[in-house]
Amino acid sequence: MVIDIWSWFCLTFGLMLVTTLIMTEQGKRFRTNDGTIRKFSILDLEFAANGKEIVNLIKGIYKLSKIDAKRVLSALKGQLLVDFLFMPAVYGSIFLLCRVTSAKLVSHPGKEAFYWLAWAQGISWVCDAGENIYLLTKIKPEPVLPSRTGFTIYTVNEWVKWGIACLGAIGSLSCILYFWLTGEFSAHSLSYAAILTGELIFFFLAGKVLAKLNKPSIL
Amino acid sequence: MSATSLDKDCKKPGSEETLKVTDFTGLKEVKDCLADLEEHFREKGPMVISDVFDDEGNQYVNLVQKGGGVLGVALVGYTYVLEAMKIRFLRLAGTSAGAINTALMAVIKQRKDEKSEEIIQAICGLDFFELVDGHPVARWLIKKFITHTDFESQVKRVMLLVVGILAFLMVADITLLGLRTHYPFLSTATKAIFILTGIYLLLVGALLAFIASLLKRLKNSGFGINPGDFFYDWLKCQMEKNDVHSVDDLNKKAKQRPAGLRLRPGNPESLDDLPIDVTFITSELVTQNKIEFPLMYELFRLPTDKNQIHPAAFVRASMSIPVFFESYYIHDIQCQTQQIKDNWFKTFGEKDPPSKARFVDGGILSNFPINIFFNKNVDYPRVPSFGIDLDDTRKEETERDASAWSFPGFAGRLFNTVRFYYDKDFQIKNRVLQKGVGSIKLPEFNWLNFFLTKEEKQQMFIRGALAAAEFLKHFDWEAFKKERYDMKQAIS
Repeated sequence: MVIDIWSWFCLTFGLMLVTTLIMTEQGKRFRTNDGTIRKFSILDLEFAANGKEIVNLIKGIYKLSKIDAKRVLSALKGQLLVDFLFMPAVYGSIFLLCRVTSAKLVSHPGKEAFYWLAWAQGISWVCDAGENIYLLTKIKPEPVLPSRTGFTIYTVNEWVKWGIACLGAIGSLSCILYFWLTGEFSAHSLSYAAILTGELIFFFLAGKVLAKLNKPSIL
Repeated sequence: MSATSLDKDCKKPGSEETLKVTDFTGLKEVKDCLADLEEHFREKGPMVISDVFDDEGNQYVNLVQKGGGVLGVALVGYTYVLEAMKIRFLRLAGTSAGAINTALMAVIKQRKDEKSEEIIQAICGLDFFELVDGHPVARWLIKKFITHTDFESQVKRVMLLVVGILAFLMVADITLLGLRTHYPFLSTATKAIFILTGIYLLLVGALLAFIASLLKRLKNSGFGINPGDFFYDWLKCQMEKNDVHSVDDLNKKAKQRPAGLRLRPGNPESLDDLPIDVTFITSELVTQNKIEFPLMYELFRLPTDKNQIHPAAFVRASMSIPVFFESYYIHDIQCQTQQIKDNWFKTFGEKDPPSKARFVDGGILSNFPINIFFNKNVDYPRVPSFGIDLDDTRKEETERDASAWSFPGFAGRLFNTVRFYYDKDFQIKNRVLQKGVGSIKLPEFNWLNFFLTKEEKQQMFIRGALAAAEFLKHFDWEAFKKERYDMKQAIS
């Protein structure tokens, strides 16, 4: 059972790395003009201080030169769309980690907690998808300023998404570290650790190569 | 600039007005001070402070107002008393907070009208904390640092606690991990502590990432914590409420000569070349110059594009306290056109004007720009140049034990010596102008305290009013004229 989970994890983790690579490259093209041209990241949209900041940031893209604005918009929309592929990979990975942890824990409360934490990743997924749809609708030359309530819902959505995902990932990784240090792991699972390490090395090298090949021409 | 929605009274919709005009003008100290002044001049004879007056009995002076953050409330108290004593203003100039009061005095009603009540009304409708319009966390930190004197030590204590908890969790992890081999019942506790450590590290990591993102925002915003958009929108609204929609409108209003202006008999000069205008001082960092707006606006825009920038921007540029507010930029200067090049060369000897200018608070170059009123061609003064000085020097700051200064104290002294000497040098060389300067003592107020209580605002207003009364009682126009004349003769 556990070995099956690990093979699935290798798959979702690999997909997560590939989509991360694509989104990182897209993110390098993000620019806005708020008086001066500056870089931004998707996190600036996710954790904006207020609704006006989201609106100003998007409006600023349209203030770039036509060609640059087109590139940034295509990169931004592209990243939000690729994110739909990233979501099953990342929340799937955390789901599997929580399931592994739940399966290995003997005590009842821990087992239950990680079981529910695994399924709670679905909430994060829904929140993430909702956020992307919201942002996609906002990308236009004159985006509507969100109401105070609208922005509060958006912010809560962000915290729920990140909170559940981080709690699942960090909680289960802490337990897995414990099992590793105490030697409570199956020798078979070592082959999966090797695969995951290979994926990480590939991700690192591919990132370096892509960075060299795709120097954004935008200022 | 992003627009903040303000109602017709230039207030944020839904904001409550906690103060009324009479909360300032009706203060006992203010009323007593005016009564005392009237009594003083009834006994001493009529107040004569200028040779220029109008048929309504108003006397005219030039006025320069010093910058000083929220201490600007005291400036309003000072000008309120001057106006109540029928003093009106021809040339107006100011830096930073002084520029704000200057701008309102320039745009509200006409030169011969009293404007203080409208200015007080504007202040009553302004929640000063709205001016701190940066990230909510930055706003919270600024508030805590300014209103809690021991906040720094509180932060230190919290940081120690964070490190302490981390150390405890690490020690607990290692200890329990070792013990569980011999005491299997500790396995559950060990797992729990491992999870707790992971979550704790996550929280600390999130906090660090958040701090990093705030620092990145600071870098992206040109090292300014607050965008200053609210202030710009508020002042723009105030100007538009008074029919000033463009630089042309501002100039027209600021240069309007009051009707029935006369020169006191005996003064040999004439009124023909008497200048009437308004000036806001700001510091331009690309070319490293002191800019006087609107006079030098032609350095940044061609006459055909003159109204591209709203005059509220001049004051916004003047009050951009470095780091506290974002710098103000003027983009797309037609620096390749001959006219712009000529203007720069004529004004600053600059052959290569910039395409973009970046402004910070005028106070870093000239916080008290009384020098701009000095007219070397005049032998005999017609109007005095009045100045309002905001003095928030605290006793510990005047500590003369130079070897006892901390590094921030030393750096502060260094910076202040450089930034104040430009104005000081002029005042030393033209001591007569010092006679027109009244000083408002505000040692217990913090110039960055945007969280002033109602009582603090009133107290500042009173200080301004009392300082104005004290100044008027001692100002001797005849002595001023004589000294100014003698000085001119000595130079000649």
